[in-house]
Amino acid sequence: MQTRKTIATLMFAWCWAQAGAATVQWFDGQGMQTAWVNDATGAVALEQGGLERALANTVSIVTQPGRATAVAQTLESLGFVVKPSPIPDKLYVLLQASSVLGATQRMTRVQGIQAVQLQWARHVAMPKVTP
Amino acid sequence: MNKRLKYAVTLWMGSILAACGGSAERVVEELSNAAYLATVELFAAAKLPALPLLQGDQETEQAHLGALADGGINIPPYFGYGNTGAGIGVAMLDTSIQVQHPDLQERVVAAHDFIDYDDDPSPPVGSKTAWHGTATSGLVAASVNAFGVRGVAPLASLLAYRVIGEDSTQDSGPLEDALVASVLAGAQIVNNSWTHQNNGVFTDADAGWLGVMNARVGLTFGPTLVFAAGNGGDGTMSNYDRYTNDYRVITVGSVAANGGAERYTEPGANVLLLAPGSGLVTTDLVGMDGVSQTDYTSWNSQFTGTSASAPIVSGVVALMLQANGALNSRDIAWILAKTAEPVTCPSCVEWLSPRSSAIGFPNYSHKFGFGRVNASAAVDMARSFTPITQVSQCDSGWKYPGQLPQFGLDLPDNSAVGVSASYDLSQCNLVVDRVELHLKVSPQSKGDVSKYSGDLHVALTSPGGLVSELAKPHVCPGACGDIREGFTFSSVRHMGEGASGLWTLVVSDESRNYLSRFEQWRIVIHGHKG
Repeated sequence: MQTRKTIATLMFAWCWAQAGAATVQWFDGQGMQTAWVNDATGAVALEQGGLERALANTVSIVTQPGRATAVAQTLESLGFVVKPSPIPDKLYVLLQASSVLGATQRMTRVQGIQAVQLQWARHVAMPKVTP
Repeated sequence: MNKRLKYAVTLWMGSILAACGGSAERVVEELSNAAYLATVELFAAAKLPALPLLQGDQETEQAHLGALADGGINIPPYFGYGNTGAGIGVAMLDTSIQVQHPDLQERVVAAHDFIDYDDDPSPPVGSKTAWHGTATSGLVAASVNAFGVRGVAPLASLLAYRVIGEDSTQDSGPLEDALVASVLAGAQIVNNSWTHQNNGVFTDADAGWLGVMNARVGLTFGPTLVFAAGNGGDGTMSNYDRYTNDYRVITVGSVAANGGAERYTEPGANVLLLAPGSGLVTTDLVGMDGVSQTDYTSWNSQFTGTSASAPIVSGVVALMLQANGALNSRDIAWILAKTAEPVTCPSCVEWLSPRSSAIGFPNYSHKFGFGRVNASAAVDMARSFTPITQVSQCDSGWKYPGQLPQFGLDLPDNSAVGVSASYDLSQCNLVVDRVELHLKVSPQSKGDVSKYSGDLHVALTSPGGLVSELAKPHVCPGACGDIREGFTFSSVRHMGEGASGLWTLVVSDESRNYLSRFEQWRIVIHGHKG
């Protein structure tokens, strides 16, 4: 009985420790990775307890050499909005920030992807303009 | 040059002028550098008109291009020197840029909108931010023609890359990819009139940007990156921004017309030099309101800030590279520092002790850098400069401030004494170009993680006794930034010093607010053989 109580207590403590961050699997082009999503803010950390940041509305796709057009067509057939890049073998997929991680899971069967790169949302300081 | 040769050259030049419709500008563009030098005397003797400072009726308003005594940057006067930036590509990583502006359209050779993902970075209807990229582009390279204004390098080529959205967003992807695009397109200069750091927060750079920098940009290879120091004034430091702090970039602050530093310009041991930043006349939006309601800013429509100073220096760098295309960013920084005009500061406590004449640089200040950019002097030095093509590093590796067993040390609270740590680089026989300091400091209480770094004072002293102040106690409106995992500072303060000897770091907690612990540090000297 005491052992069961101890186990239950430990499990409860472990669950308590995990509260506030949900883990989500995402595809980085090579395999599935784990991300930690802050329940309250939606910010994402790529390591447990690591720096939390806001995701942007876009992911970058690095394709195998010469495969950008084919990859774009496949992604578009899956319903993604794809934009070209001036950089060879690179594409952009436009998403909603809240659905980025889950959306990458749908890319696992797309041939020709070398990397799926998350983008982080930032703001810049604009210059002073005095009235 | 003897009289017969002069006559022959004169006839040759005259025939070219006639063939080209009498345009001295186009003739000069056609010539090689060797021919430029050969014709300098000829142009002076022929009294061809100097490259105009202004066009139209704004003659008194582009004073920033004029004489040093008038607060200008001393633009070289002749076409004959090829002082136009012709053949040099300047990538502008900025907001929307009105590439169809009459004074810009001839200069733009490449364009992409990394926010809207198309090849047109022109401003959307009703844009509130597009004036920024249009104005900075004009400062660099507004064309010489029968109207409008002119840039510092009015024949330079512009690569217009939009990386800042309407709401001042700059996601990590656009910035990284625009830098890659700049390199792939062969841009020699990349202008960055933006910062991420705000109000004293230690702000790290995106891993993607750092990856591109590590792969494609160095002191002796890749484009020269020019950054605005930031407009946060003395309440913060440019050293808190990992972008402006990178050892490979040139960071530019703002100088006022009266010769002092602008109050808004951020100090920092990473600030190389200053350029005008207030009341500048440059291109403004056509057909929509920008800074002004006309197609150009005027001195009182007040395009102001270090965002303006950076493109002015980018333009000067274009002139330098036209004079000597073999220069790398190390050489460019060296020349800009050597030729900078001392800044007026009668009662300034920021001026540090005059540097040893053996080092050969003028005075340095965290507020002023090495002084105000002097375009003519920089171009003249560039022309005959022999590039330093190889730099090396002396790296201490990560060190603990405490004695064995290796550990960190708690910082005395509210004390300037702090913790001192030294590293002997006696075996490092380099002349310093840049110094990097990597630092890890943690809060003694995890609850203080968002604020503790605002209490810190960080100072690095060279073997020669020169001090780089890298951080000072400050108030942060929000979080100050967490540097437990490390933050990288850089300094140009020690440029020209010998690296050999004892380098000493003092980290102190000079405020009562929070308690901190000095965990680790690492110094890297980037330099060349003397």
